[in-house]
Amino acid sequence: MIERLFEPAWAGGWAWMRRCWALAALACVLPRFGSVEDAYAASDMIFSRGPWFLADHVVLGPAAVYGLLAGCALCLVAVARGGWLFVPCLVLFLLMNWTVLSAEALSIKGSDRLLTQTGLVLLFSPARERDLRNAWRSETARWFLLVVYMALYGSTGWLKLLKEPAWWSGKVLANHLVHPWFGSRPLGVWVSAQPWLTIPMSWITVLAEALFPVLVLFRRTNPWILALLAGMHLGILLLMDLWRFSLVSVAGYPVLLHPGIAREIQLRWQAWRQSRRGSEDRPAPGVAGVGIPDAPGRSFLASTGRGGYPTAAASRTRARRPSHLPRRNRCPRRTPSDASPEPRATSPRARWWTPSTARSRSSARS
Amino acid sequence: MATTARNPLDHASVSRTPSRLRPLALVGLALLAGYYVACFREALGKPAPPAPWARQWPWLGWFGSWDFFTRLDERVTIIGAEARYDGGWTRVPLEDLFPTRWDSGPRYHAGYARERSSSPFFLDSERMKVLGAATCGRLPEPPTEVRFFQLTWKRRPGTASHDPPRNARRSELSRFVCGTPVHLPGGWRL
Repeated sequence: MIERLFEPAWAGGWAWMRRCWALAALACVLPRFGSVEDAYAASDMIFSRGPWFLADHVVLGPAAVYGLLAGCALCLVAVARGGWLFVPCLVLFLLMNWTVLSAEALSIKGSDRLLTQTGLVLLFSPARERDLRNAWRSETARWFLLVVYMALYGSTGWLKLLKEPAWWSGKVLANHLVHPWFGSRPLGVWVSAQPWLTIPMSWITVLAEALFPVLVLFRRTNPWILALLAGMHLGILLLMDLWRFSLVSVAGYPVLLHPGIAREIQLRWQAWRQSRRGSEDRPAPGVAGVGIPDAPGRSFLASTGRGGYPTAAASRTRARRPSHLPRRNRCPRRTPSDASPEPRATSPRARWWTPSTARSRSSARS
Repeated sequence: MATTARNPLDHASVSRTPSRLRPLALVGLALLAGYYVACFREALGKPAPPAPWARQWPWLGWFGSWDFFTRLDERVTIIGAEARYDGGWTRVPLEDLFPTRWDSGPRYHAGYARERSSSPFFLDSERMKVLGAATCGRLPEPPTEVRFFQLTWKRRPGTASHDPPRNARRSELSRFVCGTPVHLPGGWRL
């Protein structure tokens, strides 16, 4: 059981999360440039609050805050690109960002906290690697991210469920939609007066949040609960003035999505792009069975295991993966005897299937 | 946390968490989950007195607590200000003087949006003094005195509630005589 926690799964979601996270963080940082002299480096409105006691010791001037914000933005560009700069830039970003937040001290938002918690998970994740399209990595970091999101959605859902019965009548949501700061968007104001909308929206919100910690774990329910919550965040984005939190929350979804499903989406996307290009000489990335010239019309789903892992059995020529294959997203433990009958590309860094590797496959089979 | 080992017979680069790091990862996961459970229990127990650890380090639970948009709040509360010039009171456009706005509103509304917050900005007399001094300093013509009040009225779904109705309840929060020295954090003086 514990072994399964550490087994590899497709890691391409981390590359997507890295980019989405950096974009969401950038969306949080850039608006601060307009508030430097009024809030972050104000000479007259200086506060401190536990544990943000920076102002007790040093008061940042506008030049320092502009410099820190510019540093944050530069670091985020490096984070989005990945590579060896990823970890130092992510650490630097977190330090500089919290220095700026501490200088202001009063208005540290949920999005700032979530950004930090997911950023700390990213530090220990495979997200730093540039090419993750064909990489399988330990799921440990994904488990940490899952715990963060389970706490986020689970606690807010269960608190609504246990502490506020008015959620079931839609009254709470209707009142939030006309909040003078969070709400009061024209569409939100209109929706707030429509009980036929606010009641189902409230039920969906409470149930999706409360059930998230369980439903996210199962492959069958995982994409549906994420789609439901993505819809909720889209609703928040359209109806309320909480776009920062929505962006930061959704940034983690590529990794929360079951790796097997994420892999299938990635392969479909690549196949679609390839078909648009119409280039037969440049087939899809080097996963067994994808775009092999000697197997026309074969579905890429047939080439991968449940978790998108290219299993030996799945790489045989057939239209569909048989039902007897393991349904879990695990990398089978490979031994030399397992691997030897399955010829692979000679270079471990091979990213694309070439006609020569396809030929070597077909000759080995014969 | 993970080492990469490429199997030369495989296209895919595969890595697992090294066995020596696995206990560490498990302990980390357990601690993280335990921390969130403690924060949840703390939030669930409110408004009961906080647990000893939460009393000692109130911000420790804040970092992992996701208790927002939970309660039904049917009131709108906004803060207004008036400045005294030659004996008469003039309305001060606070939102223009302090234009920065977050999702939760202007800076001088901090804490108000947090449900059952124990420290909204306007209940902290020291912070209100700083706001008073800053208001005196930012007004183009310095007044002799400023006063802050809160307006409260009932929200009505279907109507944007930016403008207070005539029957909004008004209560004075504080007064500040311009020129009074104010202490900032760290002993700074305005």
